[in-house]
Amino acid sequence: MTRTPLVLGAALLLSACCGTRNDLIVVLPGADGHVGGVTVEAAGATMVLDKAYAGAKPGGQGAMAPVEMSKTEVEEIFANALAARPIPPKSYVLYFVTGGTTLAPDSQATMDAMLKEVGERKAVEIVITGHTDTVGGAADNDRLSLERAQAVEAALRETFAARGVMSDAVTAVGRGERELLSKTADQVSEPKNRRVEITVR
Amino acid sequence: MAIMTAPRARCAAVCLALALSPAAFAAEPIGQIKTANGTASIERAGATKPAVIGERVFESDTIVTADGTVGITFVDNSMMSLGPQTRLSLDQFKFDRTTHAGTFNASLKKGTLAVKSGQIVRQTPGAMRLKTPAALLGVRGTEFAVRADEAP
Repeated sequence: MTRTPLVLGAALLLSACCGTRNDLIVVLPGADGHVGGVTVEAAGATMVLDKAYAGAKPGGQGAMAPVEMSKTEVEEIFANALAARPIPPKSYVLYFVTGGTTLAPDSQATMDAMLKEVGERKAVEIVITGHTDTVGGAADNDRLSLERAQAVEAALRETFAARGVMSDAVTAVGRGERELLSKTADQVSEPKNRRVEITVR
Repeated sequence: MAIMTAPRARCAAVCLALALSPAAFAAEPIGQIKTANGTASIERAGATKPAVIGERVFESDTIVTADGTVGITFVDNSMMSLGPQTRLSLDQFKFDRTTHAGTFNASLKKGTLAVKSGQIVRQTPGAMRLKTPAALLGVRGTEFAVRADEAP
């Protein structure tokens, strides 16, 4: 009975010493140049990878150590996975004549660009997100932003349907005053923040 | 008043449908397949269906590629794309569309994967975790790639 833990311990030691894995983790440069990074925990050790092409090989020979990868190597190893990346979601910010769903004149070109993008994607989804400024309470702004998004969704329903977008692929979301385009103090009327963002993905 | 009663009547109908239909308890989709090439499938509750463009994915699904590749965009705008001979489980996915609070836990059992984090990680760095047979990854953002493979 007492032998089992010993045998298990020996097996663990064996697997830890000999490197049974050919795993690789590598951070990629973001399209916008932003690199946040990844923490890697393996066999009781933690490593932070926070630079483009910084890598780690957990489960390999010896203790996990940072590895510097080249762009060429990474693009070769991950060629298929990278080629299968979806087109990133694209967002369009629209402004409306105060209190309604009539597009502000300046936003017509943005609307046209958004609809063009919709036509170019396969299995397209559309997220309509309402935003408010900081006038009023947070809960009221959540409701207001959702109502604005839903009104825009209703106004655009036929436009999207005419382009073959399924009705269940369109959603309305209210973000209230959480994502201010122009940072202001509380209770500041700011037209730039009263907007609807349409994300095409 | 007419404006008030119409949605209420619709709600009553929906509520009845919810109570009667077992499918109504099915979870919301967490993402959608946007790219697909070659042979790949989705394993869901013991059944297997082809992973084709437009197919929705759900929490607890496992995506499996043979000679093919699959690219998925999730509802928080994060993205994952699988190379061939890959097995990826979407273990847990919670996302609040209003606050962007959430959790995204996935396991790469084998193969190659490219990841771009989304709104969950932007709101809460580290809230996306990817498990591999050798390690646990905490994602702060934004793009990275992982290979899980037996030593040759």
